[in-house]
Formats: sequence, structure tokens, C-alpha cells
Amino acid sequence: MSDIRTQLRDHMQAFLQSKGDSAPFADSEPLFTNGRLNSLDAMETVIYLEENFGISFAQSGFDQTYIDSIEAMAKLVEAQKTN
Amino acid sequence: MTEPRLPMSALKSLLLTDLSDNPKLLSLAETSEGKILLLSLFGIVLEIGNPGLNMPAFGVVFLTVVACTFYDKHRMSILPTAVLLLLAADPFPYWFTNDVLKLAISRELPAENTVNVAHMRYETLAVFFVLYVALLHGALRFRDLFIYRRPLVFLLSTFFALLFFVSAKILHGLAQVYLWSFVSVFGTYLWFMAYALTDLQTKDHSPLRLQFGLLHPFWGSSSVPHGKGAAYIRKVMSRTPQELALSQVKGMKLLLICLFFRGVKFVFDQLMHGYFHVPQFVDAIKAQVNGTPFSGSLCWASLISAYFEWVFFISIIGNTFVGCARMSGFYLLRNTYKPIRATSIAEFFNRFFYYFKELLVDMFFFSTFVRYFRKQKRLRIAFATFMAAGIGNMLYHFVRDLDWIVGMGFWKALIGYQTYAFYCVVLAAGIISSQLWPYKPRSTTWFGAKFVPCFGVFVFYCFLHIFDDTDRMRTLGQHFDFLFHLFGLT
Repeated sequence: MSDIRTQLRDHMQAFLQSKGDSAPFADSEPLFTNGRLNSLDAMETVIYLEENFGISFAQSGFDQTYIDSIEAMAKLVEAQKTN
Repeated sequence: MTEPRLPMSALKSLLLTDLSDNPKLLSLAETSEGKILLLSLFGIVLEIGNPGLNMPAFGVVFLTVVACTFYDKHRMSILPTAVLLLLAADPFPYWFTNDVLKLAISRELPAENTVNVAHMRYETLAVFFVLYVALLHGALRFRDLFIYRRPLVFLLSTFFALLFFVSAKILHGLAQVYLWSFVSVFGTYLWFMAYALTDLQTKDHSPLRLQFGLLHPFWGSSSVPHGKGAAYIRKVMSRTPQELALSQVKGMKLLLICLFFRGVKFVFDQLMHGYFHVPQFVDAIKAQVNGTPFSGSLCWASLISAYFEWVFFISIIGNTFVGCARMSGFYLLRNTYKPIRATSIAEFFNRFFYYFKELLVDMFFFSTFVRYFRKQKRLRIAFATFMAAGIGNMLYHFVRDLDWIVGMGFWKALIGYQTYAFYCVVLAAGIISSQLWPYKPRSTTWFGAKFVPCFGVFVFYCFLHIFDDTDRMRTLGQHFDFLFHLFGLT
């Protein structure tokens, strides 16, 4: 789980920095709800999760809360692995 | 010994400082005295800034904010109570298209002038609330049913089925009027229900009383939920005295900004339409349709003025709702945030009307994006954007403007929707191109990197405003006539 979190954190940190946002964030901090990322960024994040972790939202449906923080994304990836 | 600060530099420092981040102010806002001061100021600003709010409704909004301030741990119970009290104070609040009932009565009961319209509205609301609560409970017990797995499909199908039935005039008289009343209420709350049912599908769903409390929350909304749904509200809810103080100070700041912009808009209106005699945009279009168009220069002035008036209007209204929500401890993002600074069509749409954009994204964009054309990135983005900014936008406004359907009949109202449908298609195309082929400035100067793209966005939305017309009496061709007239072609 910690490897997944590290990978996710590194990716989101780089993503935020590419948008000129280098402020630190906790794993539990909501990135979309707080306005640091918008829905276009959510789209990029969905693509990242699909391509790197094989996540498929088609069956389960999509809700932004699933990707709102590193913690939420890590839970999603773990749940996918378990299934 | 420190050098004394010059008066001008101290003033400059004060003006540039965001007072709402001042630690002393935030500490004061945590005290009882500070809260009373903030709430008093809130009451004054709410009264001055919202002259259309009747006294009972004002009382409900104000007292709810007070309750949320001093009994913040009971917000989950305060919100649903406020929803009911607000409707008791005014059965015809601004968010209902009240013309629907009046039109239905005039058509079905023309000889009747003793219908108690308020009673009829309350009876409809009572039935609707009972059904809605049952629907919410059902979402917890029968989550695998189609209606709960695909809530938006269920809600839109139900709405249109009811609409077809009532438009077919199978019922008559009082029964038909009650049905129109129910369809109107259903349509008004449709998007709030969509958020609630979507949230109830998740494992970490919000409690039912919060879902009910957000059924057109007391802080205000149009048919667009300003504050989205319960999942978002729980994330932005203040949980400590410090968070509450910050939310309230930021809320007060936003409300004062809205009040300032009301003043600016008033002066702008007086200047443009009073002093310079620029016609209101709707009058300019009407004159074109009637064959007595205003001069080209007046039409240009009318269009540009209408664009700025629209930006002012959405900004003031939406951010007033957000300000009230922040005063009650829900630190919502602003509805409008410096839209003039947008350097792309997509960015403007995000900055101008955030909660409408979020509604379209939450309800249409992602459900399409995760399902279709997953192997073709550009087509995937384009199709999902079209479904949101195009189809979702059309559906939202069609559902909202029910009075046209009562007045004209379903099919005539649908044909009359041609102008706005065109608007949605062009808007979607603009956003798609902005996403897939973003503008890359060749220059790094302020003019090349900022002004040029901002001006391009302004030009796009200004011209598009010609077609931002949900009035069903004017054709698409008539709007194109106006456009051509601007360039002296007609």
C-alpha cells in the first residue's frame, strides 16, 4: 500500500507542479474539493489511474470523491487489486 | 530603532493586504462578540443586497445562519428544518417557475378564480416530499435496482414521462393542474435529487437528513445546486472554531464584494441604458425581429453591455449564495472567480459559473467519459464534453423552462428551442477545441500571453451571447439576422 501511495503522491505532486502549484499537501487533503485541481485535471487523473493501475470506472461508476485525495486513490487501487 | 513607515507605503500595504487572512480578525471572529458583530453585519448586508427577499424568508435565512454559528454541531438537523421553514414562509420562492401554475390554471380552470394557489403548492410539495423521502430510504435498501444505479437516467426518464403524459392532456381540470404543479416541483428539484441519489450509492454516503437539508438549501440556489451535493458539503463543512471563523470571515468578505458589484452594476446600467441610451439587448433583438432595427453601433453597444451585465448578474447572484453558505460554516468555492482573466474558452466556463459547470461534469461528462471511446483519447474527451456542455446544457434548460411547454405545448416549445440548442452546440464545440487544441501564445509578453487570449475568449462569448436565448418565440434565423446586422450585412 505504501508503494502505491508513494507512486500516487509523486505523480500528483509532479502534476500540481506542472500547473504552477508547489504547495505541500497531506495524503488526506482533498485536492479537487479544495479547488487546487479542476474537472479537467480530474479527467487526466482518471486516465492516469486507468493506464497505470488498470482502474475501470465503467462498471462501478465515477464519483470525484474516489480520486479527491491520495488516500482515496490508494483505497481505490487496493480495492481494484483485491477484486 | 526601526524607520517610521511613510503614510503612503502604509496605505498601500493596507490595501494590498487581504484583511480576511488577518490573524487578529480571525481570532476576533472566534469569540462570541466577534460572531455577534459578524452576524449583525451579515443581517445588514443581506437586507441591502437582496431587496426581493420577503421578511419571513429573510428571518429564516438569518436565524439559520445564527443557529449554524452557535449550534454548529447540530447543522445536520438545522439544514432540513430551514428547508421546511423557508417554504412555509414563502410557497412561491424565486426558484420555482411560478408561471407554470398560473398558466395551467388559466388554461384548465378559466372560470375558476377561487383556486387557492398557495394551498395547491403546499399540497404538491407535501406529496413530493413524502415520495422523495421514500426514494431516499429505498436507495439504502435497494441499491442494486436500476433506478439507483443510474439515478440521472431514472430521474430524467420519469420527468419526461410525466411531461409527455401531462402534455397529452389526458387529464382535465383540477387533476391536470395538480399534475402540472407536480411536474414543476419535480423539475425544480431534479438536479438536487440527482446529487442525493448519486451520493447514496457510495459506501461513505451522507445521512438522509443532510440529503433532505440540501433539497434547495436555505442559503440559496437556482435550479443548479450551489454547493453541489452532500458529499461536497461534508468536505467543506467547518469542524473546528478556527475553520468556522475563517469560513465566516471569507463569507462576509464575499458578500461585501457582491454588494460592491451590485453598486457597480447599477451605475453601469444607468450609464449605458440611461445616459448613453443603449437599448437593452432583448429590446435590440426584438427591434430586429420587428423590422425596425437599431443602428449597428447601438447594437454593438447593446451586445457588449449585455455580456458584461450577464457576467455581473451571475457573479452577484451565485456568490451571494456562496457567501451565505460560508456564513453558516460551509466553505464553498466561489461560483464566479475572475472570469475576465480566463485565457481559454474552457477556463472561462469554469470560472464564470462553477456550479453549473460542475453539475454538467458530475452528471454528464464523467459518466460518458468512463464508458465510451476509451481507446481514443481525443474522441473520448470530445464526446464527453459534447454530452456535458451540449446535451446536458440543453436538457437542464429545457427542464427548467417548463412555462414555455405549458403555454405553447410540448412540440412547439421543442421547435422553439432551436436557438438555445444551437448555442449549446457552438459552446460545446468551443470548449472541445479549447481542450484538444489549446492556444499556445508565441509571445511571452503580457500582451501576447495574457491580453490576446483573454480578448479572444471575450469575443467568442460575446458573439455566442446573441444565441443565449431560451425565449421560444424567436427563431434561430432571426438571431442570425441580428448577427449579420452587426456587420452591416442586413
